[in-house]
Amino acid sequence: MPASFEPIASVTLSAATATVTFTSIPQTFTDLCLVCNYGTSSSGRTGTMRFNGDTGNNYSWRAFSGNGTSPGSGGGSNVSWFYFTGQVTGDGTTLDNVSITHIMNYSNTTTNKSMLSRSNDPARYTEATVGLWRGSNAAINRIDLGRDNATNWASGSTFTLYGIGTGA
Amino acid sequence: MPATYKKIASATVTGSNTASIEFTSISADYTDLKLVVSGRGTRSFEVDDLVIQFNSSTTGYSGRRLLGGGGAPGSSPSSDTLTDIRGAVPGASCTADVFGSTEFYIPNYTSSNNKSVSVDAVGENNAVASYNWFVAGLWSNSAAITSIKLFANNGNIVVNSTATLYGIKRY
Repeated sequence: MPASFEPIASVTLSAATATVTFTSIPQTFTDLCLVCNYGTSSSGRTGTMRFNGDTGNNYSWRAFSGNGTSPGSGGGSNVSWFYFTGQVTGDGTTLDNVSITHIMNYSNTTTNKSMLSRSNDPARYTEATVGLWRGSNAAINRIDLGRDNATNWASGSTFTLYGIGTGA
Repeated sequence: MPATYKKIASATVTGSNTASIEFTSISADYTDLKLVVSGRGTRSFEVDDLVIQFNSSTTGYSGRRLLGGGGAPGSSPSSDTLTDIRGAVPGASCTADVFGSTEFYIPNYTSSNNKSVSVDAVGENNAVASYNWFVAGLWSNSAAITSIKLFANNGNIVVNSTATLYGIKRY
């Protein structure tokens, strides 16, 4: 039986790292799922996502969140990345945060690409985010996961990219 | 090639309503767990909490929830803090045969770190009494998860409810 949910690549950080990159993403699936379990070096900073190395202002996003007291929403247009996580608590060691991001129909070459992300910091928020990349209609072959304001992902954080579909 | 997204166990409530569903002796062969529930509760209300506990532990749980309730479309959502980790099931006040859905995702369930849990829960009722919530859950415990218990906070889980536990392997 062909694989329908297959790990494409997985990264476990051995040191604090600014950017995690998945390259040469195979085009043999229909959708992607990215699962991150992570900590960060600084509080109040978010995780950022870019496709295919595009650093232009070709991204937009909207988020809906709850901080344990009140709901909130936010977003950005014509910016140079998605926020795919909310603003987490950071101490550099605690790996309490999780995000699950779906990227649909990533290998098609006729449409802009969108993503849906659920992210959580149990000490701070729960959030759902939608993002759109308008840089080109190219298939997604690279994903960069960074942090704003030059903060780092904590050592021990795990990032796994899964392919969903019929496989090769 | 080893399965990377495999059903570990599944439970269906049969015969009579039950207080809880438990999965024990969970294999450590995977990296993540995903628990998918289709259920309904006996509470005489629109919704009941579907609480998850690990390794028979009743302490160390916390969370934050974003909740959309059954008001008119566009009505205000809310957010609160939790001292447990919970999804939801429709209660006895909902339309007959309406079952809700909850998904629990638990990455790195065998690690020696605290366990973070992402929860999505929905219950549509074709009436005001509907809900949709997200939860950021945390079990502050370094033990590997070897068992999971699910229970409705204010009643039982009804017949024909199902819970399926999947193991996901990243390598």
